[in-house]
Amino acid sequence: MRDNDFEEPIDNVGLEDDYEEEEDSLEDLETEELAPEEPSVSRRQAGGAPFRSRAANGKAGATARRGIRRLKKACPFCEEGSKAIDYKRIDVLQRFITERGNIRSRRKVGTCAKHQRQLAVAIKRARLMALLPFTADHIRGA
Amino acid sequence: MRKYEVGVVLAPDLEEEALTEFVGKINRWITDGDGQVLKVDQWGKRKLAYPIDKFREGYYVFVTAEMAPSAVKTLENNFNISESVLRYLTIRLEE
Repeated sequence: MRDNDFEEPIDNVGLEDDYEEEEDSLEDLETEELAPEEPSVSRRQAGGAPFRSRAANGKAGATARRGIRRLKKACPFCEEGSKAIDYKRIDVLQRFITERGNIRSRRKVGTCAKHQRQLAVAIKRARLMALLPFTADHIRGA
Repeated sequence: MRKYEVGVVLAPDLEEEALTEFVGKINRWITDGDGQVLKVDQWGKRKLAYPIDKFREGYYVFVTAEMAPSAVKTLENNFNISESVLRYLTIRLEE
């Protein structure tokens, strides 16, 4: 079983760090992500998939791909102290969905796991109450 | 007795009178079940993120109340029966 990786998926070769969001459906999966800081171990030693940087294993040199280490963003909710994430506050929630209405990946936003879960619940509730859209069609409007 | 927040989206085609009457109905449904209404927040008409039953607007009401857990089901049944209720959402509030 492969270790879960924190690196970009194969079809997204390190570009995304510096380039603002293209619509990338893989990134917008509404699932939990592991902490990005976990170093990956051993799986490259078998000579596995292409495009995986050996920099992740601590091996530097010409083969290192830039930008493996992510920005250590602080969770925007953690800073505020523990307030519940309210589904009615769409002014807050808006930040965490894409232009098409998808929930943004935790990797891109920097929220912590706990708050991302609460955030997802709040967004889904808001969608149910028609405060937020489900799909892009809804946004395109009348 | 637990604290709940009940959000309701009502059809926008009701006149003011019918609306206030309906909000009163909701309050009564709560108190009938030995509940206590703590707060009523009416947002009024608001554009919906997507059409519901052909409506593009809805009237939003949020009620915070203390009720028995068993009363929640009855309340929701009433919402289901009512034709003016487009959406409802009952949440338990933690403290």
